[in-house]
Amino acid sequence: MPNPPRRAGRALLIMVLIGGTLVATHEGEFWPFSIYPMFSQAGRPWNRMLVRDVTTVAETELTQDRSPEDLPGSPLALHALGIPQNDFNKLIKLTDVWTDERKAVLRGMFQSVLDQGRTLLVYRVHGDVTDDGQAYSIAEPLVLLDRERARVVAENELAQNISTGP
Amino acid sequence: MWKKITTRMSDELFGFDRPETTGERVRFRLFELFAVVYAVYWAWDWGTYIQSIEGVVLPLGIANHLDVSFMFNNGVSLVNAGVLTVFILLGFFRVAPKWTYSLAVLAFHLHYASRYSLGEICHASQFVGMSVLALPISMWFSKEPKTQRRFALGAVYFFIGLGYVSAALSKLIATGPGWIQGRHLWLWIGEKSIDAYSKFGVLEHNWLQEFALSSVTISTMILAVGILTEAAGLLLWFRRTRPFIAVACVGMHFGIYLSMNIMFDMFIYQLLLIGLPWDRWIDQWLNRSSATSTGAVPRWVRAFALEPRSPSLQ
Repeated sequence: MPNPPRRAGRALLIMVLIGGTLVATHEGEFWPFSIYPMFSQAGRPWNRMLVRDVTTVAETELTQDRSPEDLPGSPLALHALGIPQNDFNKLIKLTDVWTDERKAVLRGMFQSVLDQGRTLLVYRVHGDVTDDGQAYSIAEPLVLLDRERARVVAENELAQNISTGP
Repeated sequence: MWKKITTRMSDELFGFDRPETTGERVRFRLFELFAVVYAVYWAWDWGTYIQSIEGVVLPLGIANHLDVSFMFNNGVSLVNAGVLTVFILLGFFRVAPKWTYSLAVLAFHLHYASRYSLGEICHASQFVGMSVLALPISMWFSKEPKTQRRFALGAVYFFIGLGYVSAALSKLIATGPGWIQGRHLWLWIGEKSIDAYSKFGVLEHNWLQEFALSSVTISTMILAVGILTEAAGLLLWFRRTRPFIAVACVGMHFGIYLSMNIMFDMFIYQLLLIGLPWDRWIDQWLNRSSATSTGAVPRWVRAFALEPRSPSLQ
């Protein structure tokens, strides 16, 4: 083969150009090409989601913001249910309006648990650093799921802004 | 000057002029087997999960141009898993590998875009994906098996090294040198602890997290070491520094696992496989065993390494 190093250089350059173009036009990601932007945004306040099994908890207990160590009910471990935490987290994060379709996607994730007649509460946990430099986090109730429906808990008032889901 | 640099880089990444040893061929087949095994694993792992997805939340890759929701029902993703499995195995066993590996890459990309359509961008399969992509490209690039092997592995060194540097640069461009400020690590530890709480139902910190949370200076040092290791990823391009930076990156990934509960295990396996001098160790082992037995390279080793005929150890 004539001059492999030169041909290799060209082939590599073509891969870089194609990969670079795909990444540049697709917000940094075109698998398997990536600029690996994770954690590039440092020191920002964060929101992550978790679920509690609140089947035996009174509804009046479910409307308050609390510390993650002090949540009502018992933890629902997503790993044991085969639900990827990242998918669950992103689904909630990327949902501004809880349409029937989005509620169906969320209910679909927990269908096997809901079919057992259990009630679940999705919390959004917010983390930040105080002015004096101490890290803290606070959990806010977000969506209540039971066998029949998904109810959005808005502005900490379960009775208000309740929308009936599929 | 430019010619000197490109010649040097070509020698470091590919080394087309160097003679190829049996150990090198065995190591390449191990690398290829690693990529094939994980591609098949993800084909079925993702394939079954895709069937439970109800809708596209964030389109990635080809999903920006093609509605991948057809993959979610009627077992279509399982059919794609089967297609990917067949094509990649045909490629591995050298049945029209140029074409079968190329088609496997397309099926793999469609699979990824479907699996990660719910919003999370997962990088765990990135190195394996790049390896699977490098295989057919090496075959389009050259008809000569030795040149194909050298190119494929060299391209993987190049893109993995570039990936680490790119990760470091992304941080510096987005945040500046202040990225290493220790309180940033505190925030990530808090965030990832909630993820672990959600996944496993237990809220607790391990010893490294407690250590980092005990002092801003300590957490700043941890972040500084991490970003310096990433930036040094470029050293994967050079033969002499490759084993050291591979081990350093493995250490960094263990640090990420302990501090943030994120395990890049495939990255670790692949770094160890391509970064350490397995070719030399295999040659030494073959030399030792051939000296004590029949004097020939075992037939199964030759078959695995796709050796053409009576090779000599070099």
